Amino acid sequence: MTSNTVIKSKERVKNTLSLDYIIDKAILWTVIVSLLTFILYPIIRVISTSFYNKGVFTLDNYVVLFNARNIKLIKNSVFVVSLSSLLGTIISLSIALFAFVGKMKKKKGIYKSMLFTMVSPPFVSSLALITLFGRRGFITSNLLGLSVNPYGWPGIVLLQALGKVPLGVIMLITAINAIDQRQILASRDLGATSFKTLKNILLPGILPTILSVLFLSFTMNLADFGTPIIIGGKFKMLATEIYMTIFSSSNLGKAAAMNVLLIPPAVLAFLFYKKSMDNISNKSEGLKTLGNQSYGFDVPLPLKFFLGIVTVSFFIISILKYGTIFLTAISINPSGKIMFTLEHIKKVKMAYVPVIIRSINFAIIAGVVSSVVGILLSYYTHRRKIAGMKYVEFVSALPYIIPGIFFGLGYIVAFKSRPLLLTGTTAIVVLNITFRHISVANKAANAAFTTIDTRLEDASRDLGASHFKSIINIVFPILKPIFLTSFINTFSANMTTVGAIIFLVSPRNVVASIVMFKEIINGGYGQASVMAGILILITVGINLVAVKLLDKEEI
Amino acid sequence: MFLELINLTKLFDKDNGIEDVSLSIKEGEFITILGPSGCGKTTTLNLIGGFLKADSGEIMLEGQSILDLPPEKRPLSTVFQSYALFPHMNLIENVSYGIRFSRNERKKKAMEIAKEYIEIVGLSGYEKSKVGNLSGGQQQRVALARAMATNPKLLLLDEPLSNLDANLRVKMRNELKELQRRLNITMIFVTHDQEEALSLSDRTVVMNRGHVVQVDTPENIYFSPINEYTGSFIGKSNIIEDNRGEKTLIRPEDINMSLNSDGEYRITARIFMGQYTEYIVKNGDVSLNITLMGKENTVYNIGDSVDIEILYKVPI
Repeated sequence: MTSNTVIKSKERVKNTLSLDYIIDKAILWTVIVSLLTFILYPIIRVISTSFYNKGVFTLDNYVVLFNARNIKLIKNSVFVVSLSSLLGTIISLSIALFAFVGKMKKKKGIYKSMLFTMVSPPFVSSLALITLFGRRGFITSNLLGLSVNPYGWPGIVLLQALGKVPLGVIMLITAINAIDQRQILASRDLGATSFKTLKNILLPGILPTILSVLFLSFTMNLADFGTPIIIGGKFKMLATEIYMTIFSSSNLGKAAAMNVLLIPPAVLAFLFYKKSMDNISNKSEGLKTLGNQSYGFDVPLPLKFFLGIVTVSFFIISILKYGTIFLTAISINPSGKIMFTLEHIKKVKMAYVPVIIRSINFAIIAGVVSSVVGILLSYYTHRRKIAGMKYVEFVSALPYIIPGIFFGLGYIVAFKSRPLLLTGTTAIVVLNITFRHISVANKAANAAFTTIDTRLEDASRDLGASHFKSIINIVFPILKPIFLTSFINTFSANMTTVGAIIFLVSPRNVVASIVMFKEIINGGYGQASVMAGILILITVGINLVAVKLLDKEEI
Repeated sequence: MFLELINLTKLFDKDNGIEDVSLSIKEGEFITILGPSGCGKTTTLNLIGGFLKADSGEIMLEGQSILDLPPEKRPLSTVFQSYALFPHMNLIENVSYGIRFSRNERKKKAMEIAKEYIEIVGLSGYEKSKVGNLSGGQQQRVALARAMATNPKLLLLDEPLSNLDANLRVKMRNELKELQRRLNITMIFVTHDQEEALSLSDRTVVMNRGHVVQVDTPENIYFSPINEYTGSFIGKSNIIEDNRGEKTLIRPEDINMSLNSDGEYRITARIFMGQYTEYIVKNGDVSLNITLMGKENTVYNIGDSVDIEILYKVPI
């Protein structure tokens, strides 16, 4: 193994002109141009829109932003979002720690159920909260005979906190697993109790991930307009204001300026996330040597009890949530008495079947395209090592850093005039969800490529296949499992996304998640529940199929 | 000349790469390039294979420059150190890959041709096996069959035996030599293992720090090394400097030793290696390594006084 075995792209012999050569270059440029057009350009347009009014540079939009009314909104947002992110992170950490102190089986169980709840449609929690604790809620009204007003900031805090728990737990469990287990054994061996080990080794080890979860929640909650609209009542926040501004006044400059405000916490979240990821990949070396062996790690009983209570409560709430959705889908609750009915299902069947089919189609197209583009991007960046592709790859990650509502607004301002006039078309919706998730396949392919012999493509070319034929015959077949997993992830995300596309859909091409959101706002809880159920069935179903396919692939 | 490298230069940075490498290879020759890690041997191979672009110099194959051809257009094949077998294809798909793309045969015909090569390397019956399920030696043979199946004018082998265990390495070495003799393919074999270089090649190219040090037959390289580097890198050697500053190389096996209580040398170390026994003897400042074969030569002990007889030496 000499140091010069790895070959950089610029060192490679240039290809001579041929059809395959042209196709290869055409693919490369398609990837580059599409990423710049459908990711970078919209983002730049949002920023420029915030600074320009009728072609003149101005700071008006920012000055307006800080008037008394908007300051109040910002204060509300920071208050609620700080609370909800903090609470969500504490719950996530508790569950992850509870999983860690337990047996392998329990850990896997918790991890899997988190994966399951993560693909759940949006607003399911809001919907459940209203139907359980609302004015005519199953619990408050039917059981307790109270008329409670569930609307207000506490509800937002609770729902936002709970909503980010699955992602948080998954990130934290991954980080804990990546800690070199020998460190923990060594700490015990040197005389530290398990509680001290927890405090001195484990928690410092996963601190970047804890911060990452915190800031990621903060960013996502800050940009979340759905929950406050549904459950906030008179309580207004920055994100709701953005939503209203875009919809009603179409003062896009102001909306853009408000969106730009969301960027600093998002960047901070990204930096912590990156640090956490680097940490995990650095540490995973030690994992290989010892594996995931269980070796009783215990914490003092009161702490364990607390962690257990949090975990069990979360699971009870989750079960309650899905149970409520199911119940709401097949019942009406007119006068404090639940009556079963197929009314909602019939209504959905009559009105929304084409919408659901359209959603599936959009999600499939976007899932396939974004997976292919993500893999190609990874190939050209890390295998061919083409100069400058690193920057293009960074661009592809931007939609993950910025909030969905920002990306949606970007498409409104970027594609409202010729030659890129796409407003109201189906294309704009599909393009938006496609380019939102390039990162998923890209990251997965990057990870896979590091484990694949760098000389495979050399061998293919040595045997007479061009770059293009090597992509078709070697790169894609080898990355088939990566394609499948990232397709599933993007498909699920596409089925349930609202934030980015709510401003892009027209009645002609509305999708299921948006319909569900509008039904909830209009009080159509029954139909919304049916839609939620269908979305859950579709995403879970397709995930199961994929797992089966992946298992087969491995044999 | 069949293959000619003319002043080939490729520098990654000041100390990394190759400089002014010139080499002429005859058709049917088995050439090994020998040197330590980082000496530029793999770089040389990558330049011939087309995976690297030279800074300057020329590569001529049968009188034609191949310098500007991409790897897929060069009429030669490589056996990679890692084998680089395609993990998603079975054995025969791997072997037929190059036949399809390099020889432009249809899939069915390519499979037939592939079968012949699979037979040559003795893997008949494993055609449908997943390459991941094959043993290291079998994978090595697949890589060889796959490279040969393109009918290359020149076969490049990049430390192909380095991933095998010691016994298998010797076995594969013999098979490879036999194959080369039978099919008369011109081969360039890169290795850092001197045994491989000496036993396989018609001529050996010794490289150091990006430069060619010596090109000669294994015998000449071993017995008449051009300088101290070659002498000490290949085989064990005693290098003795006389008072005029001239150096002489003596191989440890070219010294005989006999017990003599008045002898000038004393044994200071004895290392039993099974096949042979290594002794270090000293006379004042002069220290010599002596290796003696056989059971009869294990009898000397540390502290014994001995006489030595030098059977062969060469000035360097």
